[in-house]
Parts: sequence; C-alpha cells; structure tokens
Amino acid sequence: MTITTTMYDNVIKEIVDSTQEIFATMIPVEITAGESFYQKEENITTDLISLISFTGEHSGIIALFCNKNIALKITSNMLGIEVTELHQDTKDAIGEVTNMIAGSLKNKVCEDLGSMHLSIPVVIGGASLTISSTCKTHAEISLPSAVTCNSRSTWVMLPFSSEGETFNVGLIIKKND
Amino acid sequence: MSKVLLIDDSAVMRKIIQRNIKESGLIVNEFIEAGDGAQALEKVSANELDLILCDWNMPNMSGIEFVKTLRSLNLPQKVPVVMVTTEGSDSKKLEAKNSGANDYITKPFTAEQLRDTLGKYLMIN
Repeated sequence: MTITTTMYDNVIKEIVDSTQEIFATMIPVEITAGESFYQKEENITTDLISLISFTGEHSGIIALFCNKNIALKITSNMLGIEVTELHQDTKDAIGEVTNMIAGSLKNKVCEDLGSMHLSIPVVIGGASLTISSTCKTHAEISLPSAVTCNSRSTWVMLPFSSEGETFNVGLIIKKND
Repeated sequence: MSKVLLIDDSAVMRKIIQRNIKESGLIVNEFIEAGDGAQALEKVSANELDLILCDWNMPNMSGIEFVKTLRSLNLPQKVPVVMVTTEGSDSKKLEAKNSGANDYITKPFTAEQLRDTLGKYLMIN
C-alpha cells in the first residue's frame, strides 16, 4: 500500500532529509529515496534491525532495517576499512546511524511533535534469529534465515537504495492522550 | 604534543571522529578513548589533555554529568570541552554552555564543521 497523505507528512519528509544528510556527510554513501509504503510487522524480514523508541507528546519507534550487504557497506565506509562479516562494529555503526536519524528528527520536528525523549539504540542482528512478540501464547525462538520482527503493528517504511542494495527506515508513531 | 580525549559510547563514532580530525589537517599526537563519563573522569586524572570531545547520551554517566563533574574538580588547567552530540536544540546548547562546555558540534557533522570548531583548540597543518 502506497502512502498518499498522512498527518505525519512532515515527519516523514524530515526522516528522508535527515537520512540523506547523514549518509552524505557521516558515512559517506550516495543513496536514493524511494516511495514510502505501509508494511505489517509480521512481513518484515531482514538481517539487522536497529530500534530507537521515543516518548513524549507522541510515542513510537524509529528503526533501520537492512540486509547484511548494505550493513557491511555502511560499516566499511564509516570505518574506512573493508568489513566482510557482521560483528560488534557493524551493530555499533548501524545503531549510531539510527541514533543520528532519530536525533536529527527530534531536532527538526520538536515544534510539531512536542518534546521527545529518545532511548538508546537497540540493535539485533544475525543470520539465524527471530523475535517473537509477547502477545503470542508461547514464547518461542525459531531459526529462519534472517531476523524477523513479529507483532501487530504496521510500519511506515521509507525505502532507500544504493548501488543495487536497499534498506528501509521504519516509523511507528502515535499521539498520546 | 597534543592529546585529545574522545568520549562516546559508540566505538565506531570515536573512530569516525579520529579519522575526520586526521583528514582535516588538525594536529593530534594522541587520542585517548572513553565509553562514558565515568571512564572519562579516570582518563582525565591520568593524562594531561589539550581537548575533550564529549557525546551527551551515554550509559553510566552522561556527557553533561561528566562536564559538570569535571568543572567542579577545579583542576589547575581548564581543559576545553566540545560536545559532539545528536542533541541539537537551543536549550541543550545553553545547558551545555552553562555546565562548562566550551563549544558544540551537532551530529551529523561535516569535516569542515569539525575543522572550524576544533581549529580553535588544535593546531592545523
């Protein structure tokens, strides 16, 4: 489902702008933004997930979903050395990118969204991991080919591509009563 | 001999800052690293520093707590502190200044921004 208009258009635009600025200055990797879309969480499958939750007048999650190849490319560029395997530096790099995206968003949209308190990034990665939400009747750890994030939320996904590789910045947001 | 303390819970970010400083032509002879404010206080007492670069949000002891503690120590030499953080609001910048930080760089930064700010405290080739 393609997103046409939402009450958070400005937030989405700022995430796109911030992500492009961060990739241009801090990594640096040239990226192209695609068209945003909705995705049910049960359908998300990827190799690395970096999550930052936020609270305040609005609450939600900003996340970076990327496969192994783009994660290695980002890490290699950030460190200035070729990284060929997922390890702590890769998680650290992806977490820091997410931190900068969330921080930049917070700085740019605080007038629209009110104060935001950001968590530190949580990065989950590996070739054989699955997260199962606690709403299921049985806690389970299964072993598919990539990380999956199972819950009932629908994400706004903002896709980006670089030299044939793609990654998504995801957003869940709601106004608190 | 210039010695710079880098305080950031991200080892990758510490490496990026080091690389950017070197590529900017700023002269640093030694980098010392700390993963949080508490570790940084130990490094401060064990080294003669020329500059401290400090993240804000870190576990154990935040950057702003570190700056406040550092300034309360009344060390004979007041080492300049530059905050390097994603926190970019005017209120945070003012809080940092009032706590004793000398300058402020918001992530993401360009190599030019880093050179312009740190050039006040370090020699440039």
